Amino acid sequence: MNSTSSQNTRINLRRCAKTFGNTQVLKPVTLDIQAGETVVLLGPSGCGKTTLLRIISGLEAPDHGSAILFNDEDVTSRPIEKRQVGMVFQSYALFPNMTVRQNVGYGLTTGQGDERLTKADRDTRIETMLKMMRIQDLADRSIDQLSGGQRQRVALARAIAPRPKVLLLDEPLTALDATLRDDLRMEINALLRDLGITAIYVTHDQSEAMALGDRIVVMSEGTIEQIGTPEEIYHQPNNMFVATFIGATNALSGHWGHKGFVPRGMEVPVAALRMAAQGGNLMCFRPEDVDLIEDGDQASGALKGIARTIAFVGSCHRVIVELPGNQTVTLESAWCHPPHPGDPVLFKIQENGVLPVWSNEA
Amino acid sequence: MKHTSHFMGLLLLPAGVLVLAFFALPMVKLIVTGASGEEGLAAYWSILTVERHREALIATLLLSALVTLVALIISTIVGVFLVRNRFPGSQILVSLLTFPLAFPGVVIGFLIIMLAGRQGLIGMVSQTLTGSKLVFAYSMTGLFLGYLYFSIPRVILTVMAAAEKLDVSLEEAARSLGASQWRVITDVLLPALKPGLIASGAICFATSVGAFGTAFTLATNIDVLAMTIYTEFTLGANLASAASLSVVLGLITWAALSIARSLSGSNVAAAG
Repeated sequence: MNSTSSQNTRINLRRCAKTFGNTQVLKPVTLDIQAGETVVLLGPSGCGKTTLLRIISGLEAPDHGSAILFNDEDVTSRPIEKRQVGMVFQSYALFPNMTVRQNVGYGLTTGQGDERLTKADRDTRIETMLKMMRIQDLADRSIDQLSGGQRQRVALARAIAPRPKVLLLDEPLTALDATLRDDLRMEINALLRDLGITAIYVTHDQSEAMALGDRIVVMSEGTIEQIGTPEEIYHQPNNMFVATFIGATNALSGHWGHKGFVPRGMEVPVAALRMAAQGGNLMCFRPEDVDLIEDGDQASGALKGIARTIAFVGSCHRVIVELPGNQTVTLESAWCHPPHPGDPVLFKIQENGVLPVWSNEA
Repeated sequence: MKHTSHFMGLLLLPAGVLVLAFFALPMVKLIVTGASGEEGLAAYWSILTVERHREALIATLLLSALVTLVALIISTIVGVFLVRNRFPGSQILVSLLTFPLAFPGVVIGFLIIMLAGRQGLIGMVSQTLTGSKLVFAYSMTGLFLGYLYFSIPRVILTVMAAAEKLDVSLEEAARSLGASQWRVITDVLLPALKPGLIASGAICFATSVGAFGTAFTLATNIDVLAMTIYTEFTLGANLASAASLSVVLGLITWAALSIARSLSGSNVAAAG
């Protein structure tokens, strides 16, 4: 693309909140999005992520006192049709009465934006978009002749054709089946990098968020739980919610003594104090952050349990282990000799494996 | 296999007898009667050659077209509004608006007289305000209002059913692409409502072409086709002429409905 300059838009949200009736579904949110950055809004349904996206798009008006800035320009009171945003919907939202070509070109006929295009310019732009999304062959088809994946390609082409300031994607892959979802996800990723367009992507799927986001905004119950790169969110979760929502997490009950964490039903500490910002009565670690002890020697700080369920998941074995005190943990590791159900399993939590979260949950 | 088809044939027999006795035979009789007058088959041309008939035909078609157009415009606006905006009493409003569905033509005609007749509401108000009495119940204007009154409910119900199914994200997508309110209406809303509008418009047109009760209640000198047939039959005792006009009237309504059916791809049935 030769016109990335117009697409580098910085977005600043200042105390954006939304109240429906008596319920504040979005607590005041302040968020700065860099030009060209892809930010993923991630959270379970009802966490306010879609509401936040709709506020940025202009489809919803935020509560009084909120402000939305596009490149320092206040657009809060501007309706969506004047905001130059590209939108991609879960339901594709293609115009059924128009062909693929007419859909892609629609945004060029509305007189939106700064540019005035001649018929020839429009045709060139449409061709470029069709080629970019590899849908040239479908150009004159009607929408009901397309598969789900093709429809979402058309929707993407339609959204970026008018060169919007920001691309807003609302669960664009949710309606597609798994293989198609992975392919299109990679394609969207490449597209966003190529265009260098500022993009905000809403999803409830953490693997999608990890793969696409420069930064992830984890939300729950109308508030932001954490903002960070995928690595930060995964390895340094702010709290229990983030730790359990992103990736698989084991949470062991017990207590933090002066030498470290002692799981329920055990006497010796299994994790040293310095490992985590400890507190409460839980200790969390990822299934893969363990070292197996397969030679049988009982090292200090090791946990011993009984293998219950074993599953081969390709890159490793996933083993559910029952520990004393009626607790179970999931381990993922490349076993030389994977255990059978009932076999004893001995493992150690890695030095840096303990997540810096704490909770007083039972 | 053969056995089954025999059995199916047997099942269809009652319907066949019924169609033959109450539909096909009278229809044939009507067509034959139409050609039984002094001028023979040429009676069917009388609708174009006889000035009175031709004028009645044109008046009927114009009136019905106008009623259809106005009913579609009003009902689309009201129907979409009612689906999009739920407010206290909106359900009651919907039932009030669709109330005339249950009225026979005579009652509609009577309501128009109450409104714009010699003792009507509009007449009273206009006499108090301007000194002259405004009366238009016994004219084409009165008939237009009456037909509009009973056409709107049918269209509103169809529009509301179609509007319920509208995908709101389509409109949101259009707006995100910079479409103005007007563009959203012409590019998204109307295309989505089109099948329903064609279907209900056809019913509206066919019903207006054939309606008799309202016209008969308002005045005997309103020249619409249904009234002309009545006059030919009862006053002129001109059976052939009445029959031929009836056949033409039937053909017009049938054509309107079948065109609508082929355009909208859904089932369209006349009512009223």
